[in-house]
Amino acid sequence: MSRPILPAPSVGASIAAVFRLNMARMLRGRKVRFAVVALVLVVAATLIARYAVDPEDPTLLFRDAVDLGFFGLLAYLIPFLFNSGAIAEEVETRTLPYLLLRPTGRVGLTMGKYFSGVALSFGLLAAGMIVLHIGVFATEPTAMIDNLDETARMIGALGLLTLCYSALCLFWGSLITEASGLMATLHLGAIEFAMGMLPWAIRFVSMNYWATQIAGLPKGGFLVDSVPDVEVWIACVVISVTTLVLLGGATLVISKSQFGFGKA
Amino acid sequence: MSASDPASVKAIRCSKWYGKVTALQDISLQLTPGVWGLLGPNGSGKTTFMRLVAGLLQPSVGTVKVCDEAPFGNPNVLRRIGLCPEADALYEDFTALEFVTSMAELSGYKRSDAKERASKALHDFGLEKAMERKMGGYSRGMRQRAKLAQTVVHDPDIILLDEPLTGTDPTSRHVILEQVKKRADDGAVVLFSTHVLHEVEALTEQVLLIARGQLVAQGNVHEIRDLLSEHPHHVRVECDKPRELGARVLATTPGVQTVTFPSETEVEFLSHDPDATYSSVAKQILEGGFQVRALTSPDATLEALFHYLVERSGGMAGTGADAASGKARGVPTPAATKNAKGAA
Repeated sequence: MSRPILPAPSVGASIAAVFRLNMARMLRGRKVRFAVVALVLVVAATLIARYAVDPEDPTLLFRDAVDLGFFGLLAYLIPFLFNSGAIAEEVETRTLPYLLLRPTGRVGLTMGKYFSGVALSFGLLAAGMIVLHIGVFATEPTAMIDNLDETARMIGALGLLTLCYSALCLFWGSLITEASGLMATLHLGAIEFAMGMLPWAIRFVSMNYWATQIAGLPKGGFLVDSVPDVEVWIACVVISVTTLVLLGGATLVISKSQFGFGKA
Repeated sequence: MSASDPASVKAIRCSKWYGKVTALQDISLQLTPGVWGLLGPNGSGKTTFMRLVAGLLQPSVGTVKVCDEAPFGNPNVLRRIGLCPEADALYEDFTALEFVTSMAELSGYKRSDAKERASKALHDFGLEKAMERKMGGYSRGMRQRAKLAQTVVHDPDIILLDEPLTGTDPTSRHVILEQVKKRADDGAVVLFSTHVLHEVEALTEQVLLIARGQLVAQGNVHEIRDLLSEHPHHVRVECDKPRELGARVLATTPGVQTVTFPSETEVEFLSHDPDATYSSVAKQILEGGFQVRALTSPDATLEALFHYLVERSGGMAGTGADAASGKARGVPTPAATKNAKGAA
């Protein structure tokens, strides 16, 4: 007996299908609301400082807001929200079999989840940056235009960092599904945040540090003068390679893992 | 669209363990198109076997092949498999139509086709009026039907149903059984797991019995019924004068092997002829005017049968090459295997 069957979908179609499904799920979830609230708080706080205190140099205020609010807070928080639980929560709610049973394949599943998380994270961050830019320079049209290239560069750096942190969170979330949030938090807190403040070349382990250098932000942390200067293109390569390694790791884990199905 | 190989499931000396826990031990079998009942008590390994066939797990030893290919992470095989998981888990924020449409898209259909197929699948399972509602508000039976709709939306020819009737009402049950029969008639291999014998009886005569991770028997459901009658039964009576009743039944019923008194008000008979024992007990109760509070048979269940078969076979029943060749050593009568169509 033979039955006609549809061929398995291509990798591109698989990624697109997972992307749509995951995006729909994220947009209906609570995390997106939480992310929007965090974003609004950062932008609102900056705008209040801008117009209530009326600083002499809005450009400086804008940079500080991006450095502290975006690179120092939202760049950690938002990719974490959308990627650390991408696989772990499916395991926890026992819905992962619906995805793994489909001919999209595990690579398609990983990439679809990853790109949807990146798209939503970066979309929110970029939108926040644009709103912040318009808000801060609303009363100074010349400054608004003059600072456009700098803002675009910051958005680009933020995008690169979002790619990296999304891969990082997805990696830990698929490797240790029982403690995905904890592992990603430890990595982000200890290596990305804390070590990014340390002197000399130690801070090179932090992708956040590299990204702030791409964005053209001033160095912060301890013994700033001891930290060697590095070309922007090197920073881009370092973040890209790290992203690929983490994403490759996540793909490998998801492709091989049995996710404790037998223990359920 | 392309023609495919015939649907089949084959396990060859397949074992699965988690650390020191053995979930499945040396299972060999072959399933051809039709409905197959996978019977076993809770924790016997039914779900593990289903997950191996579905490609969610890999065997620790041995091989599982679906349509002659290993299913784990194999999109060509996964395209042909539909699984209704046991867990009551769904995307609560989705409507059934959105959920099943998404599953069809993941199976390779374009959005418009996927929606059409989803709508038809939900209609087949009687959810057409509720398919635009979020599944978070569904009853258990409706949730089961939504899970079944996603199972068949891509027209699989290997359908794995893990306890699909759990929590369903009679109407849902009827709809589900009809659809399962229809898919099997169309040439699909349907593996239907349950621990309730009569659920299988309504669907098929082909059954696999699994207990403690072993395939203890495979054959015709009616012969399984016979086994239930043949294996030693305990008949327990709670009454006012248990010793007198015990003496009377023992004296008049040849099939009774032993009589014990679990408590001051209970008598328990072990019999090789449960039908005769039930008749005799009823007769003596009437003649002796006993005040009976309860009459039970603690082991007139599938679970008791599984334990009986495992014990008879010394823990090696019906597994490995013997099972694959159609000989199920756990079955005490040759007739129990003569209709085992799944033998290799």
